[in-house]
Amino acid sequence: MDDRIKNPVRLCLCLLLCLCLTAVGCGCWSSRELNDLAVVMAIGMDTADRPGEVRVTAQTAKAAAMGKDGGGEGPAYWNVSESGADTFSALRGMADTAGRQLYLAHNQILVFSREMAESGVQGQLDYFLRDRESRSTVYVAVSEGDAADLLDFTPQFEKLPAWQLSGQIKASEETGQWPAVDLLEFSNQLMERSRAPLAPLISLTGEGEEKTSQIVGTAVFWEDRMVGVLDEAETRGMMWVLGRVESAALEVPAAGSVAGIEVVSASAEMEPVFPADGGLSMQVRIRAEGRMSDQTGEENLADPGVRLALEQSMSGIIRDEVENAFARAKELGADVYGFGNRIHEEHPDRWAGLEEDWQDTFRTAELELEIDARIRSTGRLVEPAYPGE
Amino acid sequence: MTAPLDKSEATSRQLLFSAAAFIQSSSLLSSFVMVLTGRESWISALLGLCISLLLVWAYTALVKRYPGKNLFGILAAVFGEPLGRLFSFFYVFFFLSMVAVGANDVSGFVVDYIMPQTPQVVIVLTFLFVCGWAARKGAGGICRMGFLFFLLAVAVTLVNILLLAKDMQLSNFLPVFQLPLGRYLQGGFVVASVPLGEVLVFLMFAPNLEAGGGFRRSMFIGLALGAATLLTVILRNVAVLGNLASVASLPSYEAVRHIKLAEVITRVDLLYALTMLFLQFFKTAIYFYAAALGLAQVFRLRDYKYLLPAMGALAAAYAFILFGPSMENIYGGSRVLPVFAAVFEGVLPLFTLLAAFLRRGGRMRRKEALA
Repeated sequence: MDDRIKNPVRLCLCLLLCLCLTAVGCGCWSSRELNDLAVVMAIGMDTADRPGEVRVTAQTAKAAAMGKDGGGEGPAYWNVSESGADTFSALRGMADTAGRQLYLAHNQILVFSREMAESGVQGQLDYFLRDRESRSTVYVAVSEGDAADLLDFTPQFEKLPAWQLSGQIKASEETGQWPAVDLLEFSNQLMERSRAPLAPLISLTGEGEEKTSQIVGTAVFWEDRMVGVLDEAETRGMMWVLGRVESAALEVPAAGSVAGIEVVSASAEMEPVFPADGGLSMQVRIRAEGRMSDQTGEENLADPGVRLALEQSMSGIIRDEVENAFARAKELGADVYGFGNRIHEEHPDRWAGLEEDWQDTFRTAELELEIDARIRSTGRLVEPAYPGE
Repeated sequence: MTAPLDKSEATSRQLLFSAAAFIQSSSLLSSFVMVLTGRESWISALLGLCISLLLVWAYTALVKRYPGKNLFGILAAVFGEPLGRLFSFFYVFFFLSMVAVGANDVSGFVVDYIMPQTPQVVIVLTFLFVCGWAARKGAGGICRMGFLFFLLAVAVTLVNILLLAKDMQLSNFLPVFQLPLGRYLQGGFVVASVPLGEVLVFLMFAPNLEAGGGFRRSMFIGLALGAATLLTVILRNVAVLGNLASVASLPSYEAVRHIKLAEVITRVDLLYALTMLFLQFFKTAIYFYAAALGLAQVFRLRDYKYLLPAMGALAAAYAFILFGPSMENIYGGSRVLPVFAAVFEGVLPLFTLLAAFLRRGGRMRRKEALA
């Protein structure tokens, strides 16, 4: 038997190749260990003191403090602020302060200060759409005061303000009270020239240790500048038409008492109508189904005759909310409903003529409202628990 | 030029799925058509399918006329020695270019999104090494992998669609037919040329098909499956991304990054990235094999495997000068590459088929005259 290795050159080459592949294959060239990264959970954008500059605040999580409960000497986060000519230079400057590379993939929320929102956000948004780590699922919001201040408070349930903020937005999405807008939706709305992008307006309430965040309105943008705010009732009026109301509590008076109705499902359809004598009309059909959650008074509001009155009353309340919201939207000249977009989708030839002065056309639009409100159940009681006659 | 350089065999089913997987690899990089027609890219996809049906018919007609020969053998039989050899060289150049494009795509993606500090050359060399290794296995070996990659692509696409179902908005498809007609035609041309027409390379596999296997049937079904995946991917991207679909540099990647179900199923873009890498490897391995085999055939070498290392090095160098910075890649992919590929996938094969008809016709007439 031949003891020599058959082809020593080939064997050496193979071994060399194996070594090279091992060195390259584990990807250690661009490796980043967790303790080299500052995980950014929230970003706040403010206008800096110097004109034309932005001040970016990044809330970075301290991994150790988040570990077990009571990790607690101090907060589980650190807000780093830096000013720069644009977002990228500010974030890059932060790496020097933080001593670590910033890692944006876990960013929960992007907050613009009201001041910055009113001067235009397009330039700042571009970074977050282009950067490879940033995700389009991040929520967009506007803060009443400085964004840096909004990111600095002690949350009650969560360890990080970023989680409380994103949790509040998510909870509002489930009820449909405030619009939860992520970066994808916001930039899509921005790209539709006729539509007014929206974002929740959040403010800090309380003092000292009691400071907490609260959504107080909806910021309405036109192009990329904030032009106004819708309050709670107006926002809900808008959400009815958008079909985004998931759960609402209405106080409906009927037959001398007041019933609390919990709306469990609602949907809406929007149809543009062009009346023969010119102008523009928006036909909206809203369908809402509710459940009686409580009632005051001893009158049995579940009685069929009374129930009809209740449903009509409910319908009237929704109508008021929608009409108020529509009036406010017209006042701001902001098409928050995407009405122009509907015309563009269904009647593209007419849209060509309307596109130019859409803001003015929208201000003159009329609303044709049809509301179908039903009360589906009365809960666990058939009649109120009152002593009988 | 029909020396059996590669004796491995592939079944018609393997060929079918290989062709489908080949097309699916391009479907994951759909920006080449989405920058042109944006939300209406599905129209381009359908148009492209119609054009490519004609092309594939032409390819299979050539194979039917010259059974047992691969593309280079057909070129030699139709055009004779000197001209056939010249065209064969052109095709070797074309296949090598496509290897470089594949390497460029993969390395660009990895360096841009995954490992930014790594020099691109490392990725290119590693990638081409693996592709060359697969090319050594021959046609049979490569086609055996086809079904696996096809399944992978289909499974990942379906899973992604399910996970994105709640984020899709059908209103994103309206309004339709808003762009000038020329755009749709251009889009259709791009789709026919870049993902679909590339099945031309399977003409190199024709001799390796098992006896009695239906080349025509396999190619048409493979084309249909691949095009169906491409269409599905485009539809999904538009439904999820809306206006952003026409400006994103990797629309499929952006769509998949958006997956967020109950905070638990999130960040699954790795799945997409892996699938893309596997499929690009499959496609580049096929092109690599075709280029090496072709060159060996032209020079009447004993074996094509010796050429692989040298061609790999050449392709690596070529990959760098091909498209400079990666932003040119998208411009190149939608405007330059389709025209370049159309010459080899459309003009030359149709010309060859025409010449084949004329040749056969000429010989028949002479036979009748003699009889």
